[in-house]
Amino acid sequence: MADLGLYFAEEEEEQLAQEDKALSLLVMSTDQDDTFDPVDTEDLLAQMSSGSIISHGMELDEDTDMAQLFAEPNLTAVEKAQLMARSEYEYHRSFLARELPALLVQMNTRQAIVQVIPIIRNFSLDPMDTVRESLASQLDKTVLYFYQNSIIDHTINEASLTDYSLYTENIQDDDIESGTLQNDQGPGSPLPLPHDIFTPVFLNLLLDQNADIAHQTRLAIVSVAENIPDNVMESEILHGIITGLERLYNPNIYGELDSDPFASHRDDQDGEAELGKMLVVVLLTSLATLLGPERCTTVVIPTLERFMGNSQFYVRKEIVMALGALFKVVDQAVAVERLVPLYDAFVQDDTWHIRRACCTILASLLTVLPVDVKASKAEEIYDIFSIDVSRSVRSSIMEVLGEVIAGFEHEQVPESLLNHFLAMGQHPLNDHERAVMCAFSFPAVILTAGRSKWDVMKPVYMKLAGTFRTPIRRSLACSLHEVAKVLGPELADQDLAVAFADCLKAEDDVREGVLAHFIEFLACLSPECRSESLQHLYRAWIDLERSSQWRTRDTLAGQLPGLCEIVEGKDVLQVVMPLCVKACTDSVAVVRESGVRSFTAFWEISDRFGPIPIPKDTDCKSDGLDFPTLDEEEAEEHRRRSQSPELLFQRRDENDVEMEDVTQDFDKISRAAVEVAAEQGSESKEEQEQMDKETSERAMTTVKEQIIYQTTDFAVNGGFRSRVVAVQIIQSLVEQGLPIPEFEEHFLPLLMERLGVDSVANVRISVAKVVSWVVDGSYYGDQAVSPRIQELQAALQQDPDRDVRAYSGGPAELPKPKKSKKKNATKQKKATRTVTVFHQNPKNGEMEVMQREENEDGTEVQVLFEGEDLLSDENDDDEDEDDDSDEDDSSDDEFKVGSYSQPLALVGSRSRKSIDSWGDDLDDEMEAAGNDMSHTNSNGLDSLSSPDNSDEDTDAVDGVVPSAVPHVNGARPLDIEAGEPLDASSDSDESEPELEMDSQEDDIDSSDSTASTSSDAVLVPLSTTPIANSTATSTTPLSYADSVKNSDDTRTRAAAAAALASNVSSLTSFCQANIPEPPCPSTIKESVVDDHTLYSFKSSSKSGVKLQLSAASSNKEPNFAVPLSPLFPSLSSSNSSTSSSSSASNYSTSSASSSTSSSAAAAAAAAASLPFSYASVVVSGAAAAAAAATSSRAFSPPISPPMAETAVALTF
Amino acid sequence: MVLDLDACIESLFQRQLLAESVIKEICEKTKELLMSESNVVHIKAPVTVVGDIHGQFYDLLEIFKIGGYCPDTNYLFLGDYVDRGLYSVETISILTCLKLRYPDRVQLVRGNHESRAVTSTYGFYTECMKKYGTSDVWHYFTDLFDYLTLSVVIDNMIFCVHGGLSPSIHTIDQIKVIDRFKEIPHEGPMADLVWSDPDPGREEFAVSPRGAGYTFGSMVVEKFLHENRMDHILRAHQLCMEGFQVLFDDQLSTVWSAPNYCYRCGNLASILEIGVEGERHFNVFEAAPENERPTPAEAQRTLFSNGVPMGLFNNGGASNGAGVGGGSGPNGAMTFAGGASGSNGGIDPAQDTIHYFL
Repeated sequence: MADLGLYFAEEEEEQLAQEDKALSLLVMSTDQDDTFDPVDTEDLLAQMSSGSIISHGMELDEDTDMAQLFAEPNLTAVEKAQLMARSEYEYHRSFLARELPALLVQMNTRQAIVQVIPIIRNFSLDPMDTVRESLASQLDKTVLYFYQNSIIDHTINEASLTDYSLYTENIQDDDIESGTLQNDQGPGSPLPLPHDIFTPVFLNLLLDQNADIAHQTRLAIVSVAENIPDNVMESEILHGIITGLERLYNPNIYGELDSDPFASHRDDQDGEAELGKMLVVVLLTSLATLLGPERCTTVVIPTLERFMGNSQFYVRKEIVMALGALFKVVDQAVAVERLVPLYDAFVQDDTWHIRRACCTILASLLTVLPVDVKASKAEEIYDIFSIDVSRSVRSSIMEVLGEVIAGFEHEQVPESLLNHFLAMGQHPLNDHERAVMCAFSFPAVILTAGRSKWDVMKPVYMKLAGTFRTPIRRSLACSLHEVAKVLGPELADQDLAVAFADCLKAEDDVREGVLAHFIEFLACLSPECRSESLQHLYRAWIDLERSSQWRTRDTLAGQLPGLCEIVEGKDVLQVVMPLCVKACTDSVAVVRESGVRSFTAFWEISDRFGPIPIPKDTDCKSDGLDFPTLDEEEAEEHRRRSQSPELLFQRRDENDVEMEDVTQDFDKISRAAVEVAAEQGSESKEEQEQMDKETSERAMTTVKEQIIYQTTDFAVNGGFRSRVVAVQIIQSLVEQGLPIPEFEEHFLPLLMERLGVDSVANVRISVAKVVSWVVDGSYYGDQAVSPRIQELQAALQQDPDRDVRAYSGGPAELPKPKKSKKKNATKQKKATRTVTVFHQNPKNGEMEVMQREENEDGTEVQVLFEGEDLLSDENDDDEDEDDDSDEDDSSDDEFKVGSYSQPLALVGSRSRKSIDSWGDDLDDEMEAAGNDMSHTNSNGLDSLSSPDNSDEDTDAVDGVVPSAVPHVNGARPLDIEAGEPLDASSDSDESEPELEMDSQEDDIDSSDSTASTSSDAVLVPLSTTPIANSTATSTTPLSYADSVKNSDDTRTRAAAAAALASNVSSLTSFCQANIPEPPCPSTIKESVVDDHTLYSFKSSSKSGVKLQLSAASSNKEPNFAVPLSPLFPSLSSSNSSTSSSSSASNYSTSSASSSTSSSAAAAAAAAASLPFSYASVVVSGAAAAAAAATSSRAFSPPISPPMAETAVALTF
Repeated sequence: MVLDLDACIESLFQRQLLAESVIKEICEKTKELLMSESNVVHIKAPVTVVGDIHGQFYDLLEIFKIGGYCPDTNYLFLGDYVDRGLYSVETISILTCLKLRYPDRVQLVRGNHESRAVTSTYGFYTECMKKYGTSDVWHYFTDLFDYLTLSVVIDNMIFCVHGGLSPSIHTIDQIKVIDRFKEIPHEGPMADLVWSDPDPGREEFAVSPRGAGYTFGSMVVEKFLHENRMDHILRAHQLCMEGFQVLFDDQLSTVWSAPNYCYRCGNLASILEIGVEGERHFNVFEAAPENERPTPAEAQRTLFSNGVPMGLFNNGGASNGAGVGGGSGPNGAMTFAGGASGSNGGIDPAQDTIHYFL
């Protein structure tokens, strides 16, 4: 439908309903006419496109990347445009329509005229809204290009289409041949452009069904009109578009007969005609200023006169609005003679819309009237409309009253109008809307009526101000400063200061209003009153702190620099400085930024103040939190509020530095603060009070000292945010040109001794920024940069935090400080492929990292730990040094604890607890677990503490260094594992090992009353292999390795070898990172549920296999294998054909030699080589058994079948 | 080509989208970075923790105004960056850039919406198509999601995760062994971490009404904290009308950072500021005011509506094939925002009842 963007206010009257009906009929009638096409462009365009320069075979694909096409260097702009224009996809055309202005400037004018205008005309009729929308949004720029690069040629009439096509053929031929992109015309000879060439485009879009497009187009027309020469505007816009529009819809006015026999058809015509009329009026209205008084008189006014009778109400309404525009353009005489009669006629209109429109333009009307008739006219209109039958009209006429009154000269406001105005505000409760209007217009009216009328107006003002209605009060609050300006200091002090204070206590909206201009208001007050009002301001801040309206605080904080300009010395210390401090310690970052700026602004103007006596009031601490002149109770309350526990960074307590301390010795102010702070708590309160008394009598201070003091205070006593603020203040001061000596004296020590070595990295980052700015910028100019700063910068460049280094110009990576425990590892690293193994030093029981060259046999992947290079890479810069060192320290200790008091050398990644609590906690945990972990641990320890075995094993296994070898009652875990019959080809990946584990656990829990003894036996084998036990230290941690430095692409894990390799590295890195951590019994068991554990077990099992080879054969494991095997029935038939790796075959051979069945070999084979998941399952079976054997319910997870499935799935 | 991250961040703060090629590059680099992160990232206070954002980019800007900008403030984002809101692309773009620019200052945890399945239904996919005309950007980001970490531990005291605990996870070490580099599964520990909710009316685990994850009660929390020697669990994932909620005798907090969720819930939001001593302060805030939001027309803007993107590569002239000109050929349909009348954004008002479960 042709919604032209007109909106009508609701009106309950009958009339409205009728009018709406009429409108809807009209709309419906136009609905059918959705293919309006004033000119037959089809032929024209067909002709034009026949001359296309692009071969017709070339078309855009649906998925062509427009950005790429747009940037394509091999196509000319015209070719691109043609390609996109021809595309059958709307988004291509839409894209083109939007980018036309950009493309046009890449073409020469001739090409543009010949090739692009047809595209534009096509687009204006495009079936897709998006295309027309895009066109309309860029229409002004697009059309302007043509008007600015060519001249209108009236000899080529748009009406004669053939002429145009001939014309285009004429101008196009040569430059297509040459292909030049330059405008080959001389600068003085732009190409001719046919008259009215764009009129169809504009008309199509103006009458678009889509209201947005129509609206955009209207704006585009105005924009074009404003930017073209007057004659072009007249010919193309006034005569082209507007006359064209009129002609389209109103053929009758050109003398045709209206003897149309078809009534319905005529209705349609009328409907269209009315729309056309309205568009004409709307366009004329928006162009009135451009047309100027003369054309307005000769063209526009007659048009309006012609339209005004016998038109639909919405046309008449637009005519009224047009009058409003014309009053401002035409000569006074014309206005009075021709427009005022029109206006008078409309005042009597039956339709309330029209009468209301009359209200809205009343003020414009009055401006053109001579002074002598102005008052009488205004009173006349008010007499009529104030008793109008339509509430909407009555309301509107009052709405404009303020504007009307403001149109009078001082002291000439008619009494009756003023009375009307004051009457509006008499009943704020009953007639809320009018009261709001009254409040809104109040400043304008008082300004016009003058101070002398204040006596009359004051009661209404006070009544409005006293209402609880927020909109009224907000309106008054926003204009308080304006009223104050009119009234002057005396009246403002007397009547408005109270209102100001009230507003500050009111609800957020009101407070916001008054705070937006509080400086202007305060400036209107006398100095005494201003000082008092400032105190209210301070209280308001404290209230605001509890409000969620942080923007209001920011409004206030943002004006603090301006406040510096109008306050006097005393208030600076008592109010403004404390407010700045408040802002700097706000909970919202941008408010803090405003606070920082206010400090710098203060510094700028500090010379204006000179020395300021410090108030004797002992309440006035420079900390700025307590409002000095409040009575004691209030002060106490404020103190509490401002230190409410909700604030993240509370500022200070009794031990804080007192201003008096500082003022004693100005020269060393910052030092003093630092020192005092350093002795925090050491100085008794009494001493301080004593000092207060001594110094408060004679103390004088300056603004600069206060700033220095406050900055120091932030840096020394504040939370980390305050410390960042301190740096920002320094930065801000430095950037503002703080003299170097002052910087070096007051602030550099702070940076060096406090902030630059802050424990929080963010603070150091800020310092790094300042230092870099000072050093690299021109701050020092020709002077040499202070060595102290260079020293600071050098320190920051070596900071453990990467960001600090970066901001101070340091290296991205720091060389990793060597850690003692890695010594061996580094030393032994030699070949490109080295392997590292954790090894328990037999002498001191500590873990060491050992490295060996890896076996050449690539298929064999040992459980090994990679070299430290990997570790250091990953570990290096990501953590603060604090972190690292913390970790190291604690971990060393933890390890020791673990290694003797808790024999299990298993290491969890549990670095987070402090060591002191470790032992106890561990015990607790053990007890809580109620399991037999300690036995397990004992075994683990035994194995660890038997270096002899370990060595033997090492020798036996081709240079692989096992960290320790278990000798668990001769048990051979290998066999146990072998005892778990595994059939890799079975659906073992679905076999949900955890589930089985559960059941097994139950078995053991219930049956194994001798758990304490038997679990030894069970456990060891179950933990798989020697190395698993050896990794009593390593295995489980291994499983966690991934977690910590899980840098491998797990997706590749499908490939077993690759996965193994990656596992090893991650496992290794983990172990290195976590080896010092305390043993965590639960982790052994817990970890088995997860897949990483599984494959770590698996990988460990493989090297374990080798160890196993040399291990003494055991009689025991069959005992364990038997009970276990039923649990894995599906695995019992082995599919050894799947085993391919040499380690696997090794394994199987060795297994075969042992007393275990061949199923063990199969299991091993599968575990070692092939389907990773299968292997995992196997191992997890073993592991589950282990867990079952040892864990209590508290530790064994209630794993559901789906969970187990997941675990299996995870391995893929 | 040198990626100028600061320029990218600045551009995003100016509400300008990044070019597709830039996003690709950024996602690649960020993946590399995230790859080396553990499933449990250990960080130190002070840090500011942000809960669900859900594409409410203008509220994210509000968060930076309140909480401070990087690198002045350290941030921990608890997931659910995309979907629901109208500006998921802007949101995840800026967070990714910040993570890449300040790896130690910004931590991104994975939420249940950081998944292909969920984003293809709840808005992110549609938004990518609208704003870029191709699904490539969606692919870049969802691939990146697979690398996000699952949890964070602050000062060895506070365990942070998007959803909650899992019946199959008793110790934090168990989280460390999860293979997280994949789409979030339907069940299992990884799913639980991003899907579970606390239930103050219970003690143990129970089936979650969400259809994924579990609900867990006081005993579960107690046991987990005790076994892991932690003080507190911190998570997001649930709308809180006051912006946050503290449960189980101050053992668990929920932080919610999408004010007026879905532009109509009327809720407050908060960010949790954790101080050096572990003190927690919820900084509560409201939705950014209307006048700081874009008009409906601006809300519909595409990458091209401000002209052809220049990209944000330095030395962009010397294209070495990886960038704009490298031309991998057609890649998905170009679609532009279908109509400037602003009602059909990321949310379809007709079918979108705010659903507690997502």
